[in-house]
Amino acid sequence: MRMKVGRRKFTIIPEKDEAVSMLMEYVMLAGVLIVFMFALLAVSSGNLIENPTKATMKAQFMDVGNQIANKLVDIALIAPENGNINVKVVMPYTVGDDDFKVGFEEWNGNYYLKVKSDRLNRSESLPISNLGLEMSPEGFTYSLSLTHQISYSRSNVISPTAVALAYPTKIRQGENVTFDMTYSTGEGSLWFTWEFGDGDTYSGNYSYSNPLSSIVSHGYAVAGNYTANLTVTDAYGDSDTDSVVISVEPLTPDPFLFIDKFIIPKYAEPNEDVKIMLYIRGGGVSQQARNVSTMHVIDTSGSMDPDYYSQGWTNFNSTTGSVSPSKWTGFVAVTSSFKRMMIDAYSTGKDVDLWVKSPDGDFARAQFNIVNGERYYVYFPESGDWEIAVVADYPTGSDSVSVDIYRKTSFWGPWKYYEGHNFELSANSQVYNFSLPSVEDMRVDLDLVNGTKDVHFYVDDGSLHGPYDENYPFTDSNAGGDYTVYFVADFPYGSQEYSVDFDIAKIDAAKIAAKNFNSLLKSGDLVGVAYFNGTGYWGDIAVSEVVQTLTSDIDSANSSIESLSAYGGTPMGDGIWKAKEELIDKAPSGTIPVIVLLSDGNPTLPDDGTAVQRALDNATDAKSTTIHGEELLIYTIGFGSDANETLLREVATSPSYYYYAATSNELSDIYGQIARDLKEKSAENLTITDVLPPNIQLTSTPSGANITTDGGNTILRWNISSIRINETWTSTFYVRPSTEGIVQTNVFGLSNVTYIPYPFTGVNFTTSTFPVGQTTIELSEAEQVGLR
Amino acid sequence: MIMDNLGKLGVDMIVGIIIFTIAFVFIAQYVPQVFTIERGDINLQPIAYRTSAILVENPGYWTNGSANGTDWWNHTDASFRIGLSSGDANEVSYQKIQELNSFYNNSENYTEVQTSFGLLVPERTYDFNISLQSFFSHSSNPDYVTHNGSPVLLIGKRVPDFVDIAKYERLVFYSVPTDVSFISSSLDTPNTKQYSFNVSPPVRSFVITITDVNDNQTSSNPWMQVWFDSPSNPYVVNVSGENETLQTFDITDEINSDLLNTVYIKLHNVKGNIIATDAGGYMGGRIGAKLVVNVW
Repeated sequence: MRMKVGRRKFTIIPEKDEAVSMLMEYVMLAGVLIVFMFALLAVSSGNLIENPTKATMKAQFMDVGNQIANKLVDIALIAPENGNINVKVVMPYTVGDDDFKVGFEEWNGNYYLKVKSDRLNRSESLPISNLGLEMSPEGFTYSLSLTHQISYSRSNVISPTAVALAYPTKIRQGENVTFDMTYSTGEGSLWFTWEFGDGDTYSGNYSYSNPLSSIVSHGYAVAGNYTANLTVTDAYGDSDTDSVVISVEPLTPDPFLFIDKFIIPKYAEPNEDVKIMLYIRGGGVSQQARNVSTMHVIDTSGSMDPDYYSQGWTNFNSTTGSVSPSKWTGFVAVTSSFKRMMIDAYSTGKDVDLWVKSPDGDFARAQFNIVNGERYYVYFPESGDWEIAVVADYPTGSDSVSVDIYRKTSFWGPWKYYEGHNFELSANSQVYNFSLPSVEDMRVDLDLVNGTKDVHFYVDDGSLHGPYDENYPFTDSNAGGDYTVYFVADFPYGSQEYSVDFDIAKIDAAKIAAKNFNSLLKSGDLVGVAYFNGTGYWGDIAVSEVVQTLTSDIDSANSSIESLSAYGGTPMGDGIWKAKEELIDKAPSGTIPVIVLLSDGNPTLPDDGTAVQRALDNATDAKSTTIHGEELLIYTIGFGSDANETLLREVATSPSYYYYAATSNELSDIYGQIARDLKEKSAENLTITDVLPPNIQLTSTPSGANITTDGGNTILRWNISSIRINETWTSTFYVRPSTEGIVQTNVFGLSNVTYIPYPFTGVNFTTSTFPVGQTTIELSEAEQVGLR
Repeated sequence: MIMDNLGKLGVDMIVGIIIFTIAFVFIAQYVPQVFTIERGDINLQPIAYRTSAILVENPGYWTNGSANGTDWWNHTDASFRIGLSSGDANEVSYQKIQELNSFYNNSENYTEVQTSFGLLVPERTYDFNISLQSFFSHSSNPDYVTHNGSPVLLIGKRVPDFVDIAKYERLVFYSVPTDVSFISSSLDTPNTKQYSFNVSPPVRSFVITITDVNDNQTSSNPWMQVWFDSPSNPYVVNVSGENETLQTFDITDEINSDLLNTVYIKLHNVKGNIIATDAGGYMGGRIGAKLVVNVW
């Protein structure tokens, strides 16, 4: 400090004692500094430690959480319907020296991720795009854990669908119902249980390879209504039930129609196809009589008779078997002294055959026949044991057989008896018995199978005929009755398989089958017989006649059938015409006019090239004929491989009215089936309509359906001429619902079946509506995602 | 410390330390912000990604506890999550876009849509803006694709100017482009035929796709000629033979640059179709746009 006083320069100089104030100054300075340091520390712990830690923690927590949330979204977007996904998650052990925890939490029904440090009481919440809706997030992990992982699993099990079918659903007491679960679906092997409603149950495993084995038959002894419950359990233990009501009546019911509709599966995912099956079955009791007027039209052209055409046979019956010989074997020890050897084998009357085998294995049949036997002769036989085999070539009984062995010891010397054997040899034949109705021609035709050893056969039709073999079949005319066939092995070693056909003339088979048809007719039915063939030397003059006018006398009709004989060409068109005219003239009201046409070949007459066309034209004319309001029906049967199946299919009322028979038995079965068809109709003139609402989109076109749309509805329509008792009509197609939740797949009331019911008189249609099929469209549950 | 006999330096020191301390504290206060400022929109980016991925790759979902499904617009009273995918990733259904528009617009369901995307968590709420924009659109000048004059999709709050925003863009295609076309015509000519279409440029996309040869009547070589307004104008496209003709012709730029009114197309023996739309651009054989998700 300087002060100016007057003109003198005056300076105050601190004295020594001012040093005391220096000390005070230090003390004050230190005090102020300490205060500042505390203030600094207070500021910097907030700004340099706590706030940066908070900021870093928030950022790190967000990073960890976002990493997990992103992975969750990625998992959700590729989530498999069935399977697991494991994803590794990485995170630091600590953030700002503090460990933390990550886990799912729920808030207001929504899940989110929470990353939290308990010690610092800081946390961050991260949204997970609302994935908690379909996934069930659970679990947590600590940052100090060695590894972290998101694991996703979903197991989507398709629930089983039980489909209970039964037919008929209306029976008389004591009759059987067939229970069918084979339309049920489920995963893996299916176990099913039927509770029939009368206390009885049946359980079994559904066999995918043999579904028919899972069809069960059950009878009800007491009349009443029964609810049969089906429970189907799949490999996962999930089950579904369905039921069907069986009506057991004490009296004969009228034929009726059973209709139903099935939706499979009952639960489907969005954009998944759903299968719809319409099911119609004819019900009723098959013995219910319906009157028919039937004209048999039988092709009696020459090709139906083996006398004129080698393919005129048809199989009536056949069998297979294997024969081994009845034989005696012995040895003769040949030495070097044998210059010649002769072996005779003979019986007292039956046929025996002789084989020998030399020591070196050569095998030979005797060269010469002797009385009731055979002789083997050899020069310079090889030394050693020669084997002798004698075979019984007769079908029955036994005989005394001798084997004599002679030798010459020098080339020119005499034969000397060397040794002999005597023994009894019994027949060892395979026997087959069969009965044949009275036929014009029959044949027994043998074929060897897997080998070429000689097999003989003998036929006993009261007297024994034979032997015959594969080159010489047994044939007989005007045959019939009981036959016994014996198969005999004519070889010494091993066995031989064979097959035998018992053939009859096609014309005979046709007669048998037509008579079988007649036997199924009842009083009130009428039957007539017409034929068509050719006459004249060349058989080229067309003939067609009604040999039996419509009659209720079955015996008379059978006699007329018996009188038919085959010859000449095939004027099929004429036969159809004659039968139609006969039906127009004679078929009474209240009967169904029917032509049953059998042919084994192509129309040949008239021989100007119009034969086929004439058959078609006359068939078209006949099919458009109605007699007393009833449409004339034509059934056709192609018989044998020469039949013109294409033509016969067109001649028939519809292709389903055509049948093919290869054998006599098949032919009889077909005639029987036609007879039953005719008499067992459940409903006719059916119009089946299924109306799909606008939210049901058809994804496959069912066969035979006429598809139209109206006001957004898709209308499927089928027309069927008839359904017989026990006949099933089904149509399966796929739809895709465009809405979700419980979806109705058809419009009630509009989806129906209209038909003319029994007794099929007049035009009064009955309408039965399909049940409304429901399916539930939703995503399957069971998605799970966990954090650990 | 240097002391002189006057004891003056101690006061200077105190003043200096005070100034230093004040400066230090002032600067230290900015330290935490060093960590946070740059982090802001990085944390938002995954949320924008997730929202966009769910929208374009997932068909949506709803559940009411006992039933569930993907037609969320029919079940907005239940818990639901919005998805626009037609079933395939990046392929959106115009029907679902319309449903989202109508759900959002008809009753101002901003919060419901926010909830559906899971943008609400206990501590905070994320706002969104979702739109469909053209391939060439950018933030400074967004170009929303339109159909029938209005944006195909534009929902959410207006994007604010001065907060951290995360934007995520996904290229998407319309599953049924004819849904969003103002011209959608099939070309099917067993012989030679001329078509004409009125357009008012600019259009976002005008594409002719020739898919096959139609040889129902003659099997002669297919060809196509395209010109604008008057037959005297030069051909824009003039191709012949299967190799040249069987492909897709994007004539959007030609139409827009010439500002013309009528497109004439003359074809011979081909099958194909024409798509003209303002709802997106042509790319890779399909009509697409950019789904832009902003979250903040």
